[in-house]
Amino acid sequence: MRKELLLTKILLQCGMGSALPAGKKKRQIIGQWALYLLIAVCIVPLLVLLYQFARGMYHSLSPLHLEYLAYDITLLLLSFTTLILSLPFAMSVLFLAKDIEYLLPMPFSPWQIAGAKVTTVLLYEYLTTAAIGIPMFAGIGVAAHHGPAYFLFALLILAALPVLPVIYGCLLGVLILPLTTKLRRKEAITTFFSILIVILSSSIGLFASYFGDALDNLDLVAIITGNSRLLMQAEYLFPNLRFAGSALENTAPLMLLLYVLTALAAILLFLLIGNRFYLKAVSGMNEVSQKREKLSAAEETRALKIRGIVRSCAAREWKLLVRTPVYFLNCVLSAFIVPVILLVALIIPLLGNTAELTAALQQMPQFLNMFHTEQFSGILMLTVFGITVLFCAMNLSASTCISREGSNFIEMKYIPVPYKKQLQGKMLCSIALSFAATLPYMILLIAAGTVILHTPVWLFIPGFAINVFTIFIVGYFQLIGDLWKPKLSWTSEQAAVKQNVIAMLTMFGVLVLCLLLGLGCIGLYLLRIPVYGILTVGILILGVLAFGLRAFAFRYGEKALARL
Amino acid sequence: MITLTNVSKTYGNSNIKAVDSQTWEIPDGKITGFIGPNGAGKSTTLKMITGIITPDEGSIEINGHDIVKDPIAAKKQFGFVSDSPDKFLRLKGIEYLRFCADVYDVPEAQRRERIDLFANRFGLTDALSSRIISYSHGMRQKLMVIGALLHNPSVWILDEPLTGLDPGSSFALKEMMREHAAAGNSVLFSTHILEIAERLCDYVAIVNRGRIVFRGTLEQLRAGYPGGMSLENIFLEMTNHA
Repeated sequence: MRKELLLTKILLQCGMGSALPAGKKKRQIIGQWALYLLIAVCIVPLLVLLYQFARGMYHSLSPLHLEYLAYDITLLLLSFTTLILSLPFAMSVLFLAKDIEYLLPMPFSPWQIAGAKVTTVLLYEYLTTAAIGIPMFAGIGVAAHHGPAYFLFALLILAALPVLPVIYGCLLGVLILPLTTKLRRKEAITTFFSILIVILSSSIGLFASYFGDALDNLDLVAIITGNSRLLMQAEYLFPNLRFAGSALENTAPLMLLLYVLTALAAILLFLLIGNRFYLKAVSGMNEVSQKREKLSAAEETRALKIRGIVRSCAAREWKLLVRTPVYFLNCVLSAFIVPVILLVALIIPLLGNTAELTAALQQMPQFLNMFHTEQFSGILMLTVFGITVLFCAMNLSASTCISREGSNFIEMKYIPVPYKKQLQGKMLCSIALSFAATLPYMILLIAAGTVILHTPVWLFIPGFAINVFTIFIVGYFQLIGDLWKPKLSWTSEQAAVKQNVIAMLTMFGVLVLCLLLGLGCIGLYLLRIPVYGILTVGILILGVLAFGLRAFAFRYGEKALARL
Repeated sequence: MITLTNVSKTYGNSNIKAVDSQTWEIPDGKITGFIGPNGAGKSTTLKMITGIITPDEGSIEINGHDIVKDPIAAKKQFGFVSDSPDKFLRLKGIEYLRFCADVYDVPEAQRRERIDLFANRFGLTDALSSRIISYSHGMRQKLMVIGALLHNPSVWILDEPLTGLDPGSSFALKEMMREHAAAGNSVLFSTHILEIAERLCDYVAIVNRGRIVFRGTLEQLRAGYPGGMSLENIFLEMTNHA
């Protein structure tokens, strides 16, 4: 056990080394704390929302004597969130981390390595569990007028809650990897799990949206017959949540004890399985097969054709983006898959409620008569802007383009290519991706507007301009963020993208900036300025902002890269 | 030829100079070994020569081009092999070489001819169609060497180039370095292995605590330490008492 704790400490130090302010200069420490403070400020609204959601949920369910559902939903939400977030962490820490190669030859038992690693994942997960769980349990506690015992119980349950989801995440790898001998390639495994995570995330999204709708409508039948069944099915996955729910609702010590004991039993079971299968799962993880085939003359000619330097940089960038699973998921696929998930999440609840849908369709002509064509045009253009902002912000290719270089960034410095051209190559990829992800929606929206709302066909021209300028604004804004503080020191590609705080802050920053621009347009309309006038001024502002940001990004980029 | 004039570098706010007033040159037609203990300032010097970091004081010229004032022209003069070959692991070998050829404007016929030549010499022909991630350390190192030499630079700068190479490839690279220097070009390479320096270098520069403590031929170095001292002992003597 002593060795396991020692190993956990080392793994945590290695994993969080760069995130901890210790050992840095005073200015850096202040800067880092200031950054953490900024992040804390950014998440405060989310915490308030969660608190209010839980409180509101309890108040809504209380008159129907379904208070227990508030506890169950909160516990399930926390468990699912932890499961989804722990999957990539578990894969990264248990199977893909480079330290495996150093740990395997050391005199550790497999259960000690697996145990230390699962503890590391668990400790990371406490951050998110606490961030979601504390406001939600507090919301319910306040709504139900619970005493201090409830809050103490809630804290203890929060401490045990991530255990089962984290162990599920780890077990999935431990049990599946030894069977997948043909998939024994880092890329294939990571891609497989990445897709699994996306599917899980979208399922939980759909589940939440379906359930949220039922709660909004306070549809008693749906809650009791539909969602209770859904909840019961979900509880098969986390059977010990019944104890936790009961412990919270009735502040019952025995239930709490049972809950903690089941969590401990899960740990013991994992250690037993880990001892048997962990080594099989991780040994040979780094083996990558080689073709050993000589290129034919024709292949060689094709492969060595001259390309312009910007195109060459872009091609290299593109190949690295597509072939690295973490980059592929977050920088390529996200721009395409998030819109689909959002659409499905919007459509499913509608399809589930056909009566309301039919009523809405019947009221459509009345709705259409309420607005003028000009107003529809304005709404349409604003929607094009909003969709472009949202989908492009999800695409992290620009906001991590320097960070992804990692230690390879020195190559950027010694090759005889001006920094501006290298940045142009990187941005070419990012902008092309954003364009491909948003253009179809822009075309669909304006075409639908023309057919259904009878808006003018020429809206394609301003729509295209808004689309292009917005892509530029978002992309170059993200690039500036990454140039400002690139995360070059990382041990896994995951850290360059998913644990990149600046990339996340840039995403929020760009959303806020664009929200202000959108609100500005609405404000101008309320001042009775004609819609097409606002449209013209808006496009001009977007254009100036897009090209201004582009010029600034390249000028700033040259200085920032020279300084690195 | 590389010329360093009064070059200094201090990291952050520390008062310790990583490189301290270095003035020396890497002559044409010679293989220059750059030797020094860990932390002596070798890597910092190489990083300044290649434009990765800028000196606080002094100037560095490569074939007459100042690396700070005229960086693009200066960078075109050299081929650099860094100490870590773990780069762009998800590209195929041939894709990496194409990128290098594009970066250095190598004409199509020449890139093909030189890739064939080097790949044959290093026994890498069959591996070029595979991704770099599947290469061994030595194979990656050889690929980096090919990428650096593709544009036929007159100045070669190699940071620990022989680490991880098998005997055949190590021999081939040493031969290539000799041929390159014999053709009137300059080769600068850093190493920790004194035996390699002894057998390969025409000229050595020994750095300790950021300062160049010796420049000259190995014969000149030995002449300063009579009594048949080995190169290893001379090196230890110089770096311990400098």
